[in-house]
Amino acid sequence: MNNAGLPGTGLGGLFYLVLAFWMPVAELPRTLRGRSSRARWRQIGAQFALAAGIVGAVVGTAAAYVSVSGSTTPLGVRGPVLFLAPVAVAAVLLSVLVVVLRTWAGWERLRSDA
Amino acid sequence: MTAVLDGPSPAASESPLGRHMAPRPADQLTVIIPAYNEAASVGDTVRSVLEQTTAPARVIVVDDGSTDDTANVARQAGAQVITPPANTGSKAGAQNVALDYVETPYCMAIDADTTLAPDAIERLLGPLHFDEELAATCGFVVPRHVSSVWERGRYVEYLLSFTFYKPTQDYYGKPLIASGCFSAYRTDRLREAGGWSERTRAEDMDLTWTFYQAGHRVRFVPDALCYPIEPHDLDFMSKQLKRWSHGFVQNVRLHWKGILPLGFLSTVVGVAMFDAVVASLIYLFVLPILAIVLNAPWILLAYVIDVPAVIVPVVVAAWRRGEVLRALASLPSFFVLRTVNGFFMLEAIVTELILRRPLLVYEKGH
Repeated sequence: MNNAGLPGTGLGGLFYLVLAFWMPVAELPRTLRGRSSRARWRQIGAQFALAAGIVGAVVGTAAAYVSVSGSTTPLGVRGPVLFLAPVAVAAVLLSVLVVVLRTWAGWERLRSDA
Repeated sequence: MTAVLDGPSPAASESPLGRHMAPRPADQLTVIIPAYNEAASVGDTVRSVLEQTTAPARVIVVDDGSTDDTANVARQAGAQVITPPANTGSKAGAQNVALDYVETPYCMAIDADTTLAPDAIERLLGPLHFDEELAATCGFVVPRHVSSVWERGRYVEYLLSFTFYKPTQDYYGKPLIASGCFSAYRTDRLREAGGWSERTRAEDMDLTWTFYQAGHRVRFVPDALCYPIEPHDLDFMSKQLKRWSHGFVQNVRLHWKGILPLGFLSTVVGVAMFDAVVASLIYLFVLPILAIVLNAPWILLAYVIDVPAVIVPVVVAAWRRGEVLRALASLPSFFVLRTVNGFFMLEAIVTELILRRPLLVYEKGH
């Protein structure tokens, strides 16, 4: 899911998790320049906590599933690999997608400058 | 022929300025409510606007060729009514008719089936009034009725979107869309953008991305609440999903070159587009085919594999509203809606991008 009306596989969700976890890092330079505020940090705290809660819920569900279902899981994949593999695939796919998009933007800028 | 405007004029109404020492942002606000056959709901909408903690200077309902009693109901509720000579053919068209009559620095668009929390306008106008760089602000949307599968699905979808995705977009300065059902604008910026364009079926997304390309900013105000009536059956929901899906694809096609230099926005849109295509293919083809070919029904669990991820922001949002049980009971409907949404997204992509047959007709689906 991405936004209302836009179906998703979880790739968009992963993207927003990364964005939420990146917020404190992005805010630090702003804070050091004196351009941040308590309201902004409250917003960051709320989104960061939500993202942490989502990761916790996913990891907790995976751990519960593995412990309940025993050592062998569907398709013969064992243990946490069943859950880590799709996350890793999604992370790689997302990274490639972002790189492609930014390269595309750079290429367009070069073309318009030329 | 020109549009006809009647009803209580701002001068005839009690002057808001007369009640306060200092002018408030709402005194400089005109609310525009486009309406087509909305007699059942427009009265509640107008009253909820006029009963705000800071009522606007003027409320204009555009009766866009209704065949029911929309105009009378709106007038009796206290709005001015504009009647165009003929149906404009779209929500954007109706809103633009009213825009010609706006004389205030701020204006607001609200759907005729939407009511507002009592302080919604005050909260939505605050940032717009104090930050001159802002062109628009948009609020938090919660379905007014949560009963059918479709309303429940949309309820969960909104809780998720407006609690996790939209605030994150807002932090990075680019909410994806200032929702047409409840947004406020600086009138001059809106006019500079040419008003609400009729070139796509999602005029609100079009306007938001046009603002960004012009260098303007948009903010999401999470504590400004509105309550629209969402589609209650599959017929209405299909019309809305078709319009939204086609509108998204049309806007990507129209604006892609323009938003590409805007790093965050184009990345969000690119990821959303890619994810929507892949998700639609997976939900409609990959999962059912795999389950049949491999004779492995457990594969169908993939439809709901992200329950743990969805449930956290939804429950947090519902807990703030005291609606945890309602949210949990509505959760299965979200996955039904998402799968149906996949069908309409795929149909829009094929029709718009491959067959090059754009959706031109605006069909109301609430």
